Amino acid sequence: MFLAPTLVLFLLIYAVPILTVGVTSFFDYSYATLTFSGLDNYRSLVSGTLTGREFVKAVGNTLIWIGLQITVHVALGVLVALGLSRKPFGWKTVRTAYMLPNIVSLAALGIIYLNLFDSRRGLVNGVIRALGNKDFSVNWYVEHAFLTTTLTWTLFAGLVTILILADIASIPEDIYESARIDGASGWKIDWYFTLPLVRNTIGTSVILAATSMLKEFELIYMTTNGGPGIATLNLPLLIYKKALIEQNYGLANAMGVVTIAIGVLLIVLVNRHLLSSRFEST
Amino acid sequence: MKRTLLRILPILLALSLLVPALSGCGPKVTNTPEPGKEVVLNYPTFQVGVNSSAPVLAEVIKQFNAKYAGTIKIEIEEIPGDQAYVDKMKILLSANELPDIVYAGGYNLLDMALEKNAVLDLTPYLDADAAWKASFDQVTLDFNSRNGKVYSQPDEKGMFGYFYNKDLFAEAGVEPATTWEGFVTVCDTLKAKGITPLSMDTDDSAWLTNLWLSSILATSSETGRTFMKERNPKNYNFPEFISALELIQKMFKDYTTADAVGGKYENGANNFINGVTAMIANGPWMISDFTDETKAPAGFDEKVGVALYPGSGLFNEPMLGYFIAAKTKEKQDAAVTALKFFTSTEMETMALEMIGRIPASTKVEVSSTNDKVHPILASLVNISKDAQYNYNYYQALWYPNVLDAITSYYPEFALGNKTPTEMAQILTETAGQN
Amino acid sequence: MQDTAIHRRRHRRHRLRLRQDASLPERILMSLLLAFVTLLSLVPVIWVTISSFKTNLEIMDSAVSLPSRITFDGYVAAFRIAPILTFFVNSVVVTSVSTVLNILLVGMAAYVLAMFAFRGKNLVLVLLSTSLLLPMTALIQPVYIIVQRIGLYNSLPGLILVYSSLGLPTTLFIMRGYFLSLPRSLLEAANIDGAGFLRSFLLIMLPSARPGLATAAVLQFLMAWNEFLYALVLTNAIRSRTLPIALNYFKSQFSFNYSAMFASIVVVIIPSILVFVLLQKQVISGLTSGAVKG
Repeated sequence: MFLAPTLVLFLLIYAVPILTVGVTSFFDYSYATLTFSGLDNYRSLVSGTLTGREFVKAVGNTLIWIGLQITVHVALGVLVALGLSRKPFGWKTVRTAYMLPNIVSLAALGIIYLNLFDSRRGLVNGVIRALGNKDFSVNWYVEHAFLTTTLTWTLFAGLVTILILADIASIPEDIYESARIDGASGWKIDWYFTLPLVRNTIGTSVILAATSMLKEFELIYMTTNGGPGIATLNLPLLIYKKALIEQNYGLANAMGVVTIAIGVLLIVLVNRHLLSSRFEST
Repeated sequence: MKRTLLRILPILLALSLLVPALSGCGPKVTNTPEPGKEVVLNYPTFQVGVNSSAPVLAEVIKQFNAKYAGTIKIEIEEIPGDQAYVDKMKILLSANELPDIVYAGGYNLLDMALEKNAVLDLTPYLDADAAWKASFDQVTLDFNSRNGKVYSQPDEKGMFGYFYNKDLFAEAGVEPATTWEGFVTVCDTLKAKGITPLSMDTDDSAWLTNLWLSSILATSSETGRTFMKERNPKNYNFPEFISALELIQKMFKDYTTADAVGGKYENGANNFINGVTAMIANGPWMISDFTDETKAPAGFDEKVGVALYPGSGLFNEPMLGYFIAAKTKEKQDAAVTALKFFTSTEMETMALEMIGRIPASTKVEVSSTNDKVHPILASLVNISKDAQYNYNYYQALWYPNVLDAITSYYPEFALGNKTPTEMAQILTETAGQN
Repeated sequence: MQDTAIHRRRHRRHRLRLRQDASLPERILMSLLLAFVTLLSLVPVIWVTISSFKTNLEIMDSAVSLPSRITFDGYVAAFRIAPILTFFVNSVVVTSVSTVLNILLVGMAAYVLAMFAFRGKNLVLVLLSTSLLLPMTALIQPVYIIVQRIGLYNSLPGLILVYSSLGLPTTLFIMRGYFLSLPRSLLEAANIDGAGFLRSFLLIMLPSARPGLATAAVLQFLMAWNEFLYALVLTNAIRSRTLPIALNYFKSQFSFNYSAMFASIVVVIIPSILVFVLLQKQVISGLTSGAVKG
């Protein structure tokens, strides 16, 4: 009874589409055709054609970005949370400020980044020129596209910080009292006491970070469109291109199925290593 | 709170029962019309916001709804952003729910819709209205026909040469070139004077750049001309295309600004408007930016000249127009009425005078004596008579995924990391995926 | 309430002591890091705000320059070009209703899935967690057809329904995690109290899971406030559209108006920042007075 509304929502918005995606991945499916084609779509994913090359690159990039996100990004978020948990001067401002890039809509952020990184009139190059390197002119989204794209999300770990900070706040203080009696201080308390206690939330953050990278679309679409060439192509963008630009829904859906498979694998791995009790039966 | 829940639950449960019943793609019931009731037509458009056609569209719809008040009403769906418009039309198309009137200009939506049998044949309507038919020339009718049937009608014509900065040209002592060898010389001379010759870009399918590419192809060889007439070409891997790309690569390397690579139209446009570059290939809608003082220095439009492409070429071809996807006879008739209104002499004259849009109708004349026509536009129409080669622009002809591949791959090509042959190969492979 | 206050005060004192524990180099390094991330986060927002007061010419000229004089032309143009006010009101309605609906309904499911054992539970869990992974672009076409068929196309309820569902996996994931970490004794106490299922959920469980609830609500709010593609595809009239679409009014292939575009960005992002700052207070107070964790 209490599950009913959620199940209805799920059936409506996810189940029917997931089923469609799964089934039509075995079809030659475009706006005008729908014929069974067996494993053809999956075969073209691993073939040496352009589609195959794009797909391999997209999977690779997606995995690299997930890797960076669940390590560098989460670690940075945790580190800032630990720093803020000591409530230094202005910690509330920092906490709010760090969340801002997560709040601003991606459509707006995309436009802003394009302007910040513009080679002639961009802020980044402008600042570097003002600092003395007068002829500096790097075309960030072309010459260092992968790095620049990565920087636009890896450093902004405000959400992780908020989650961890919340968890730290609920740690009973007698634990710290005993730590102090043991003579621990500073980072040692964080390392030996705080971190193990917020392990579950770190696990949550890792899963959220990984799944958000598995879905990352708008920022890449708005800034590099996967380019130059296929340097910054990832799975959701490739799916978008195959579905809406080439109108090859069957192929796009085969890629969707692979994306889900990667995701399930990730969740299983994270569950095994980081979480004690999430998403498993009681 | 409990009450709200109780109220929502039955609705949700009812919905869950409806889904299996309805998602089975059942035929949609068409309501029988009540006599004398207003017919409502759905018409989505991207001509809103900062789009230069926005003021014209608003006025056309206003006048139409006033004229047909009580019988026909056009309801506009505003879809800001060209790409958003195309995306949504494709989703509607695959669900077989295209709106009553669809604008196909520049995006080749017509052929896709035809594959779904979703388009009304306009031939009987044209045959029944001789005056309407006579307002289109044969080339326009042909361009909007498939297998001898007319499916769409445009209200504008694509005509673009390139603009040049007369002051900068005078400073370097050059005139617009008539051959491509001469063009290279002009660029070199400008460059020697410290003037960047060209505005170019790579984003959004590299519009400013590919107008040059199209022109090189269409003026240099018979093969190129045939290619520029082809709809959805699949092969880009031929010597003429590759040598055209070679010149484009040289232009990227030697004749344009650093921000062209990876750059959007705005960068190129702004460089020209502010006198940084001496030439820009673009359509007449840009003239209004020349006179806009938030973008251009005052009086800038007086410095601008317009020219034919080297080899005596000009983009001067009909465009794809509006097609009708309405499903009931009543709406189809109403939509034809709307189409006749859009393509009427009054409306096209209004568009010409408001934003300098070149009319498709043979009945509207672009005359230099009309003081509402900007001198640059009049001059463009004037030189169009001398053009030896008229051709269509690439965006209306090539596959959407080829255009997308251009956006992605051009930066590397522009920087010299991809050779013209490799670039042509990629475009051919991409086109092959359709 | 009073209890909470004491609790909080003790917390603060304790943190202060901790801070003094850290060595000087450690404190300096940490301060540098905090300063760095703050700067990094603030620059884009501040920059776009400053730029929105510049003219097109000034924007296209240089990113580092300040406006020669403050001009509101961009804002005037922004409100003239796009129906920002209507979109704003729609966004507020869609976002708030879908957030409440999502938290309430999914929260309930999360509670059941965390606290009770029943047949088929694992299957439900696996099914629901796959939805966490689906790229939104893969769903758009089927979702369009469904919304069209149930007659909610081009309506705020349609958007609300879809947004409540889009946030389903994230909310479920976070809320279930918090319910799992609650002591079972809380539930047993509620049962002894004789509270009904719904009552114990609404009055005891939900408030106890406030930290999770607040987090999930913020995420759901941000998703619904910023979503673009579904809003565009599932509606066709100004009366049912939302704020993210407004930004597109300033993008056209062959024309541009940067100062109006930047002004509209500011108009779009300021409310979400305000909502976050206001909600955050709730989040934090919910957190520090939250349930005892084991």
